[in-house]
Amino acid sequence: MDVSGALTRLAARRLHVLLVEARGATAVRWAAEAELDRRGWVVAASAADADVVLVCGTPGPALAALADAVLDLLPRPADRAAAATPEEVGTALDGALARWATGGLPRAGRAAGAEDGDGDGDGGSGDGGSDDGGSDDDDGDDGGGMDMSGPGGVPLAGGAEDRDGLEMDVLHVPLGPVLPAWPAGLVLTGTLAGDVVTGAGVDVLPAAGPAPGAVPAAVPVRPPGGALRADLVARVLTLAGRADLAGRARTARGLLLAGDPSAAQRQWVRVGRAVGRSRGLRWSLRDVGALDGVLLAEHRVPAGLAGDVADRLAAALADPLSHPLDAEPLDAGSAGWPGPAPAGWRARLLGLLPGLVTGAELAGVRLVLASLPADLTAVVPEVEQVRHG
Amino acid sequence: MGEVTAVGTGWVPLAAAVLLATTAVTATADGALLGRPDRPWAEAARLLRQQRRTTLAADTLLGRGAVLLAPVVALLMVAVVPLGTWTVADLGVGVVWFNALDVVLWAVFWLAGWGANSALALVGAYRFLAQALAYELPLMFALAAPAVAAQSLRLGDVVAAQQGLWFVVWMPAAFAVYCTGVLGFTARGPFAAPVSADVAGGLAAELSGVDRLLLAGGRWLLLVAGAAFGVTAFLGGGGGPLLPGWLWVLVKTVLLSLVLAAVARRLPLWRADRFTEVGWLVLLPVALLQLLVVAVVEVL
Repeated sequence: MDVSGALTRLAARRLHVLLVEARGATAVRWAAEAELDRRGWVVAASAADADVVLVCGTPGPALAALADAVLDLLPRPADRAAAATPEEVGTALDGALARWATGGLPRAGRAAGAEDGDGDGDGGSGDGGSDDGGSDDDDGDDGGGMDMSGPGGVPLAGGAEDRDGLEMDVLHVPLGPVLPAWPAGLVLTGTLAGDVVTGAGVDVLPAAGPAPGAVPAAVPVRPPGGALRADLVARVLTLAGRADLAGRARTARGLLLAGDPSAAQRQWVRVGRAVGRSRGLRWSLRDVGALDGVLLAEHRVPAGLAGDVADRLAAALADPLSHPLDAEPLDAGSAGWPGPAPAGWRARLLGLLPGLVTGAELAGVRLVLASLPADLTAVVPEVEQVRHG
Repeated sequence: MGEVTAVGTGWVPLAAAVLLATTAVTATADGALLGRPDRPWAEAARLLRQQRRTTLAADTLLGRGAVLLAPVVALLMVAVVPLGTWTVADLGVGVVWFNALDVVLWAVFWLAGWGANSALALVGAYRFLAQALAYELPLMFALAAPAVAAQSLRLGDVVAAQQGLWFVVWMPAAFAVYCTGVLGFTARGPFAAPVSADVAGGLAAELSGVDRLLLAGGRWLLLVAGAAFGVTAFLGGGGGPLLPGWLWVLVKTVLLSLVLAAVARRLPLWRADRFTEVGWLVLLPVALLQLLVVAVVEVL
């Protein structure tokens, strides 16, 4: 009896895929999520949880290097796939599945001494990689301002006062860009005291330059505003622990993109009703990531984003999926939300982020970022200035 | 139902097999409710095929020891639960035994997160402790209610005391608090923050292969063990028409586990900082009032 083959066939029904989203590739990620839902596969929460890394869109050099590094952190067997356009997602995943089933990619072995000589990538028959020190996930090596070496050569965390004035260990933990429900290419370089962010900087990884010979598009292709709102709802609900409703919001998004607005609207109404009924959800999201309307007006950011995460979730759900506002062109600044949205608001909102997340705990930070439009970092010329600002 | 017979520790392997089989049935049925009965099996096959990975300067002994302990604690929990007329160990302090074991889970989950030497895993571990502070005390008092009513900490006596009327009928608040506690110590549904996606899987963030399987499977086993104890303490144990007692225990356990899993899916994550207030200001007084009612009824 072919036990190993049977295991592989069974396991192949539920692969976990880590999505690496390049800036401007929102539509590719949507296609990938829809394809994973269709197959009964799962979006992986971390490198350890993943079997396949799927790069959505064309990454810039920094993100491409990160995708390779992340691939190295995956437990074996593992493989990678890349889809530059939504149409390529299915074939890319099929290819990765076939390679994964036959052992996948070996580990590249980044650090000296990472080889433990037991033949990684041999389909799980080894002793399970006893000690490959290459897969440090913490990147704590720039941390804390103390040069005392801790275990494994990683410096110990330094101390500082947290928001309550308590002396706490401080870690420098970058958040993103390979993170589910997170704006593409965004890196939050935070200092953490426990799970509270005590300081943050925002960086946006450069997008890929235009392919040689390609004519650069003057105005980026804009996803429909209704789909952006559905994406926001799906991401917030995923992080808020309602995977079932998040799946329904993704279904609505897919139906809208497939050109079936009435079916999409039916799903959308059901999501809205369930969210409206859930007092626990409102209680959990209330007062998280509150954006002050006055501050937004001052920085000329769409007023529709004001309020806490619960407000933004309700506002995104309030309108029908095909709202007339959604038809406005991107460069008019519409976010798919009511209210004026002067051009360049995304960069200004990104500039507000460090102040917004400082003092929040990790769950709050993730919810805030998920409750902002998914194309926050997508509009390339608009956002480049944040890198230098 | 007559006296409970302790069959002795030689039967532990059989108890483990029964627990595993019940859990397998429950997980498959839960997957079927979602339209994918093969889901837990595919997940398990995937993890069996996967290699373990290690992080830099990981505390391998404590981290891996902890995930191994999760299923062991579940087995030790069901060791005192009577399966019809048999039990592995007919402890005079069965209720306390169960309570002590669910406190052992504090160490299990915290160490699982500690072992990886990773910031997000440790955040998940501390989230578990924060929640545990909120659910554990109400859980203890909820467990005291059936013990007071039966005037015994022995689970056989608790079952015997329910022959006329199941405890859930006149102590529903204690049962509700107990079920909340089970979701708490299995880190499920509203209490899933320690393993949630916003910290990359939390205390499981760095686990893969058999380690992840032991933790995920352990949490399922713990749910079933918690349900089995709940059936014994509140739902009349093996009491029921037609079927033999042992079968009733199993049927009720599977059903309660499925209900708990389904309810958990329909509840959002409760933020640990906010739930502490609920735990201490709502659940604890409710559990104490229930205990008072039970005590007064017993004295009269």
